[in-house]
Amino acid sequence: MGSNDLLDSDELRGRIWRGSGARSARVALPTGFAALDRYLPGGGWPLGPLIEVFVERYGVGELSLLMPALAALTAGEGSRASTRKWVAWIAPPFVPYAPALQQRGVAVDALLLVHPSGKECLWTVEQVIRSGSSCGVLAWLAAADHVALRRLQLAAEAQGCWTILFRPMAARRERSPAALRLGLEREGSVTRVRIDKCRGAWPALVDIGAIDIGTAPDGATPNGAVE
Amino acid sequence: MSRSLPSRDLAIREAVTVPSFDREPALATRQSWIAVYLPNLAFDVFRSRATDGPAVVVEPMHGQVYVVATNRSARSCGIVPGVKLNAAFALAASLRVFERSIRRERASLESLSAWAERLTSTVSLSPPDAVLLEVAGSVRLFGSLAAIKHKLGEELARRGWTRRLCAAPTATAALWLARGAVEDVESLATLSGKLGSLPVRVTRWPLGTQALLRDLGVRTIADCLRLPRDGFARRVGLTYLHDLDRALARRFDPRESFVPQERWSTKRELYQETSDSAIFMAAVEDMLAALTYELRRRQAEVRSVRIELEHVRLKPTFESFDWAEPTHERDRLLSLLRDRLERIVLPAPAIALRLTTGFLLPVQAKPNDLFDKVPVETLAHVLLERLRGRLGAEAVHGIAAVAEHRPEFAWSRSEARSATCLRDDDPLSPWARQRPLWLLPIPLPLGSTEAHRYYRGSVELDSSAERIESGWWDGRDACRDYYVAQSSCDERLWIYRDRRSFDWYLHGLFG
Repeated sequence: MGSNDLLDSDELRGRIWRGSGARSARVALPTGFAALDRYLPGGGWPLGPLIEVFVERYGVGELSLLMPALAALTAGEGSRASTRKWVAWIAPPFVPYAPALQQRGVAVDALLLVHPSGKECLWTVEQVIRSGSSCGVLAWLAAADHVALRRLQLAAEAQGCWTILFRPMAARRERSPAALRLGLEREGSVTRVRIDKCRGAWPALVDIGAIDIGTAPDGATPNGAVE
Repeated sequence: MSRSLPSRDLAIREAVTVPSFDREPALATRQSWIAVYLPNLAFDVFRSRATDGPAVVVEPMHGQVYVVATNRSARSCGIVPGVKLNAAFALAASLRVFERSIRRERASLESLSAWAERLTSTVSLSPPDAVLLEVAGSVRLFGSLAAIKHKLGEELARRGWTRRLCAAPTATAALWLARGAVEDVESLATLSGKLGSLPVRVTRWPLGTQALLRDLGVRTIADCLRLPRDGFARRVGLTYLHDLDRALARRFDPRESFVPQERWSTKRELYQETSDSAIFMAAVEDMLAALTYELRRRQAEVRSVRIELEHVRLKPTFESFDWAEPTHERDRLLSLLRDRLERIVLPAPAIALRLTTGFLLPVQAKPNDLFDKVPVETLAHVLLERLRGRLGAEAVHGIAAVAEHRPEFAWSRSEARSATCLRDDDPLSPWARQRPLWLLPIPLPLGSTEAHRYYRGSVELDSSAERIESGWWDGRDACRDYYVAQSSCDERLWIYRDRRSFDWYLHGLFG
C-alpha cells in the first residue's frame, strides 16, 4: 500500500492538512497574465492581504500590470447594481486618465478618487478599506511603519478588499506584513515581475512577457488631423 | 380686437362639464376665516436694516430691474412699485436698494404662522404675502372675532409690518376682501354682495385672463357672477369658475395646514475656558445622548447639525455638519462630529458649547435586509461623509470620460456617484490610438527639470504622429502631433510637439 493510498483512505481524509489544498482554497483575483497566475498561490492577486508594489519611477507599466484585474473588478460586479462597490484611488501621483482606463475595459464610474494630504493618507486608506463600500484600493503611500501596515492588513483581510500599496523603492528594505511584495523590471519589450515575498511561494522572477502599455499598432498609418 | 370670440362659439356646446350648484351652500359647518394680508411684506422683511431715508426692494424681470416694494419716504419721492430701478434713482439719488428675498418672506410668513397657532389650530400659509386663520372654534374662547383680530393686529404692529385683516365665512373670500380693503363679512347672506363690489384684480388671476375679462367689459366680481356659468367656464376657464364658487362657499375650499418645522437645541457650559478637544468631545457626547433620546421620542431624524463654540470675548465659532441622508443614530452622529471637532482650531478658548439641529424630519422607514446586512449604498454614503468631513469636499471625487479631442479635456472630475449607479456609457473608446494611463495635469516642456523628474536620459520616438487639432472655438485650441516615446531608462512617455512653437512637451506616462 503506497503512502498516497493511505492518505486517501476515508478514515484520514479531512483530518490531514495538505499544502496543495490550502493553495487553491484562497480567494484570488486573476491577474490576466498567465505566467503570474501560475506562480501566485490561488491563481491570482490575493483578495484581502496587502500587496506592495515597489516603484522607482512611473511609466514603466506599474498600472498596466493591474489593469486586467481592475477591469474585471469594476465591470464584473456591475451586473448587479446593489452589489456594486467602489475601487478607490488614494493619493495618485498624476491624473488617472479616464479615456485610457476605458480603453482597458475599466468602468470609470466605479472609481473614487481621494486626495488626502500627506498626513491624512494612512487614515484615509484605513477608512476606505474599513467602510465596506470598496472592493479595491490603490494607494500611493510614501511613509508607513510596520504597525500602520499591520492595521491596514487586518482591515483589508476583514473586508476581503483588493489592496494595492504603491511604495517607494526605499521601503523595500523595511519590514512589512504584506502578503505579496513585488517590483517591476523591464528590458526592451519584456517585463519581469520580481517577487520579493509571497505568502505560500518562494521569491522569484516571473517573466510575464510584453505588457501592453501603450504600443501603437504597428503599421498603422498616421491618423492625420482628427477633425 | 384680437381676443374677439367668434359668435358661433356660443352655439357650440363643448364638452366642458359645468357643475351646477345647490342654492344651499355646500359647507354644512360654519367656518370663519381671517385673512392676514401683508401688502408690503417684500419691504417689511428688510425693515430692521432700512433707515429713515428712501429705500426700495427690487426684483429683476425680463432683463430689467424693477421696484417691487418701497418705504414711505421713497413713496413721498414719487417712487411706486413697478418703476424701473434707474427711474427710481433719478427720483431719489440717496436710495437704499435691497434685492427681494423670497426666502426671507417665506420665513416671515412661517414665523407669523407659528405665532398664530396660539389663536387657532388651523393656520394656512398663502404665499407670497398672506396667512389664513380659521377661527370659528376660537371665537368663544377669545370672546369675539374682534378680540382675535385685535391680538393679531398688536403682534403685527410689534413686528412693524403693514397689514390688512379681514374676516369672511370662506378663506378665498377673506383673502379677496383683505386685498380689496373692504370690511369684514360676518354671514354668508351678505357675502356675495360685498364680494361683488371688488374689482377683478383681487383674484390675482393671470394677467391674460384679467385682460380678457376687461375686454368683455367685466370689471368687478359681481360682473363675473352675472355671466352664465357655462359660458364663463368655456371662455375664461373652469379653474376660475371654481375660484368664484370657493369664494361663495359653493364649493369646498380645503387649505393645507401650516406645520411648523422644528429645530432642537441644547447647551452645555464648560467649567472653565478650554481649548481641549477631549473636553469638547465629552460635552458633545453628552449633548448627542440628549439629542438621540429626543429624536427617538419624536420619531424624527436630522440631516444637519451646527455646533457653536462660545468664547468669552470673541464672537462664537460655528461648525456646520451636513450629511447625505438623515440619521438618528448616535454612533454615526458622533463619528461625524468627532473627526472635525478633534482637529478644530479656535481663535480663543471656549466657555460653552451649543448644539442646534437642522429641521427635524420624520423618520423614513427603510427596507431592511433579512440578514441585517447594511446595504452598500448606505456604507458608501457614510464613507463619503466621513472623507469629506475631514479632507474637505474638494478632495473626494469621481472621474468621467468626455467626448472631446483635446486630451486635457477628454476627462473630467465628476460627483462621486453612489455605488448603485448603473453604468450607461459605452466602455469602448472612440480613440484609434492608445491613451496613457497617467496624464500630467499640465504638460511639461521636454528637457526641463520638472519633466526630468519623470524620465531619465534621452527620448526616442516609438510611433508615428497622431495629429490633434481642435478647440479653435474657445481660445484654448490645440495644434499638436502626439507620439509615444521611450526614454533610455524604459519609461514610456506620451509627448507632443506644438505645431506652432515647435516645442516638445511631456503630457502623459504609460503607467
